[in-house]
Amino acid sequence: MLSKVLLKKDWKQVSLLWILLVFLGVVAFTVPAWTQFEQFDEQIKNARANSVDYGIPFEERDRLTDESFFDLDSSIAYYIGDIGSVIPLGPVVFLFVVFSALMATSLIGAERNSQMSDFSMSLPFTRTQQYISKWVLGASGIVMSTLLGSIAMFALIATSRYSFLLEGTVFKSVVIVLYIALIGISLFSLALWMGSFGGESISQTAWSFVALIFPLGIIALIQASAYVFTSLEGLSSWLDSLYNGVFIQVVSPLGNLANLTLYEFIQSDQEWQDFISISIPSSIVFIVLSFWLGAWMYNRAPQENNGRFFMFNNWLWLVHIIIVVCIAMFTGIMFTTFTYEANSVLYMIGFVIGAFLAHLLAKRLLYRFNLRLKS
Amino acid sequence: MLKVEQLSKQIDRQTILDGIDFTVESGEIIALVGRNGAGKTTLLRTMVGIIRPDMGDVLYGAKSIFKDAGLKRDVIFVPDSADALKNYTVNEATDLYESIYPSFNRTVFRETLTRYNIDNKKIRQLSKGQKALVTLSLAFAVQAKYYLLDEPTDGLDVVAKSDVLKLMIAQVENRNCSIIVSSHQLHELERIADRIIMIENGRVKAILSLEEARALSIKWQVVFNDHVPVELLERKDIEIINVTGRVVLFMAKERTEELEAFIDSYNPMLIEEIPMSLEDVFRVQLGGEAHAV
Repeated sequence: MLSKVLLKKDWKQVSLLWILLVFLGVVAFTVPAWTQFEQFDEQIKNARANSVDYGIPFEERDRLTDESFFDLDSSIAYYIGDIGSVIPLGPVVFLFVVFSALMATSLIGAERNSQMSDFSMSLPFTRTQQYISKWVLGASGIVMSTLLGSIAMFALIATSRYSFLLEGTVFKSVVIVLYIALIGISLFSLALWMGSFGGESISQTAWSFVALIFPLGIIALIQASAYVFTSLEGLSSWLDSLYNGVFIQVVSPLGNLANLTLYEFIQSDQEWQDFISISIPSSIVFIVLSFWLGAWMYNRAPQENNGRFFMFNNWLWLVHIIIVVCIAMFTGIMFTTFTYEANSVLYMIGFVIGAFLAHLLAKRLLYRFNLRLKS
Repeated sequence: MLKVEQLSKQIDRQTILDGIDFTVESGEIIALVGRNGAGKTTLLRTMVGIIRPDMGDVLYGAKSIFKDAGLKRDVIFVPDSADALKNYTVNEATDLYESIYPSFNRTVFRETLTRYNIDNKKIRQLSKGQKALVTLSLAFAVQAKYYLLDEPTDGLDVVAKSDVLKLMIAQVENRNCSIIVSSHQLHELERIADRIIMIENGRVKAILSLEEARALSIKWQVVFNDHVPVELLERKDIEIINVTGRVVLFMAKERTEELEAFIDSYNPMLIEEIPMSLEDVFRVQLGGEAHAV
């Protein structure tokens, strides 16, 4: 199914970003790790200088090694951290969010902006083959970035004064790095999928952002709305459990990340088991789902709507409703902040005003602006 | 044989293609003519599988282009601009085509480049005429069976236009391929087309050979004894081109006995039938309602 020719064509479009991603991946993995070592140095120096403030018995101060500050079982009350603190999850995921959007937009949105999309569709390859080629290129960039970045990071740790952090944690660290790569691929798959929602670069980026925050965002909106009405307390607590549930980890890379605390995974076997059995499989399921949906929609996206804000005219009504409901709930919630206690009347006033304004916005965005972009 | 069967397409609830139906034989050059917005580009994009129709099919041989992407190895679509390849150098574009189409003949392409003195630059840096020649040469070097060309001579100077037309004729002569070309340059199509498909409001208005197209309408120059009768100028079924003193030049959509009798009733001094060009046919057949000047 994978065509070398298509890879070559797509490489031309995305090569610069791909190389930049790999380079910045190395930076994102190593620089924060190196900065973390500096921070450890400071913390240890402070702890030694003000040992009593840090709960270290005065008589033990001189016989403390650096390693003691990383040992939970030692007698020191002040615990600095473990390998989990060194692995730069945040910076790397941020890099992947940005580059996933950029690469996906270059691969689909930019094509739709120009005649490249028509050219691609006129080539003797199926649309599924074209989608696979784009996905493989983006995913390979993330894998290569993670691979080179993590090798550099592990080399840095292993040759540093904090190399002991790797003792007994190499396997867990590698699995966490693998998880970061899976999250990166999830983000890219999502952004590529959104290439069939939006008919050009800017709308693809906008849809990617919306899709990224939508599952968590909609739960937050419903939950905050439910707080206002006491009769909906049950719904509110059910939504609370949804945040930490498997469902949200499957449907949202952000939800998956929100349930991750590296410290607990390294130290707690139970958390580690959950991570292995839920977070990683959830990520894989998300990749499979978003890839499949993306390929399916790429196949069906009406090519004549290239250049529009939303490709599927038949679904405009649904998008319209979702925009109106979300903005109405948000405005309702904002109105309740006028009083100390949640006020359902204010919420309803905000809801109605928000719904009206959102309706006007959606009309402009989805119908007028949609057509203007096309022309 | 290429067969377009009852092709229909709506975009934004407007009917762009409405039951388009025709066939193209090997070695034919077909001119697709129609006013702006008639649906020519949509038809070409649908014929190569870029756009999916709401109804109907496009068959190359017995296979549908929408079911077998492999057919596109023998169907080359050349859009009205070279934007798709603008970031490629000529050599990169050659490599790309060579890897996509096994039948690509690099020698043929090189010969064209040499003949027209085109350097290996980024395609966006080439002149408009050079871009058109490069994209057409790339397409023709594929040695495909069918070519769908959208406004291939649009915006080109006289020399470049002539070169493009020569390229097209040479292909059909040498390889018996079929070319469907959409253009507003009717005087050029007139020189090369075997048949004309007139598209009006998404429908096929007529499929004619050039001779048939010319015979369809009339263009008369009439000299009256006294003055041009006002009744003639007010007729809605003719298009007045020019009135000078007692002389009137006009076209009519079709030759009717009633019109001949009408002219004869004024005992004109001279009735001369002027040969219709394709542009005249287009104007009188697709130009909307006739009007007096």
